Amino acid sequence: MNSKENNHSHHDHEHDHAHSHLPSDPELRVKAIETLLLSKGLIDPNTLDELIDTYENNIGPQNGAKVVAKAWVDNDYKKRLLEDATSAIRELSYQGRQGENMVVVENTPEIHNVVVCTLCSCYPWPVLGIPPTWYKSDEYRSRAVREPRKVLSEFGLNIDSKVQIKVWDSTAELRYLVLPMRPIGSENMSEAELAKLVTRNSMIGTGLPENVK
Amino acid sequence: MNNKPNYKLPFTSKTDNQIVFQSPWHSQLFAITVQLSESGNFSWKEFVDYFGKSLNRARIHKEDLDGNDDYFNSWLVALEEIIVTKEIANSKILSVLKNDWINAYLSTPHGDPVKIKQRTI
Repeated sequence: MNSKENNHSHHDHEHDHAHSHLPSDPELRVKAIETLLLSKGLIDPNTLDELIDTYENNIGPQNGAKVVAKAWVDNDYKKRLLEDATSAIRELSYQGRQGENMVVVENTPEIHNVVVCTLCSCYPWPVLGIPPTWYKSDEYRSRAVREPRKVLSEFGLNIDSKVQIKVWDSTAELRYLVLPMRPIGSENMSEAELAKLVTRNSMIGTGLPENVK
Repeated sequence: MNNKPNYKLPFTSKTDNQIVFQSPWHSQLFAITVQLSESGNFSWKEFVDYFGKSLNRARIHKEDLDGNDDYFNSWLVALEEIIVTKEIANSKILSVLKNDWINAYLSTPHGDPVKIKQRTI
């Protein structure tokens, strides 16, 4: 914990640090909720640990990258993905929690897609994991809609003025994934190699896949 | 010293290897909410409605929410509200338990595990 989170003011009184370090107010409130729910049997500590471990280590943009790479090499799969993304993504066993209703939007030479959630931070967990901090920031959530071209340029992504930018607003019921364009020069690469080129931001629309080395 | 968070635009977190949760209480709060929702206490959509309103209220007091502690503070307020509204908890008990934790931290010698006394809730 850093010092600003510590609400235990060291100016208020003199002491010798004999007691434990007092957590911040929100930490204490989370502890209170957890204590109450545990005592009522409404949550299970092992399930909490499993959930955290899953999203910290197992579910993330590497899943979405496999979906994108498959769409790049398999035209039939791509067609299914654009027609019914939820089912096509389920073919790779990515499903459930916050991915119940998926829509995949395809980047083309004429259209660049960007995803935002203006309400809070709705995001396709099964294919991208938990959203990055900037996706949850007010700044991104408000400016991505208002001035997407400028926001993208601040990500280092300069979209040609001839290319239309479409902004998709995710909701609790509908989550978007961007299908980026396959990088030039990747014709001979395998699906697994291609997946390594797909970055998280390229599937949100704030970046592009890595270039072929 | 510049205390400004580094995720203000222009966006600096452009890589894919960002830590998923910045603080343990963020992940704990996330997991508690998901588990409560999945066991049928409320739908995710219901939670998102509370969360959206909570974020909007926070924005009135502070112009730009940073997507980190600010974001999870609003999440916490939303969870407190939804569990109180649905009578899963009441705010008085939550405040008693919070005080129990404060007292436990202040009375536990540094290095010892911090525990609170059992209460009949």
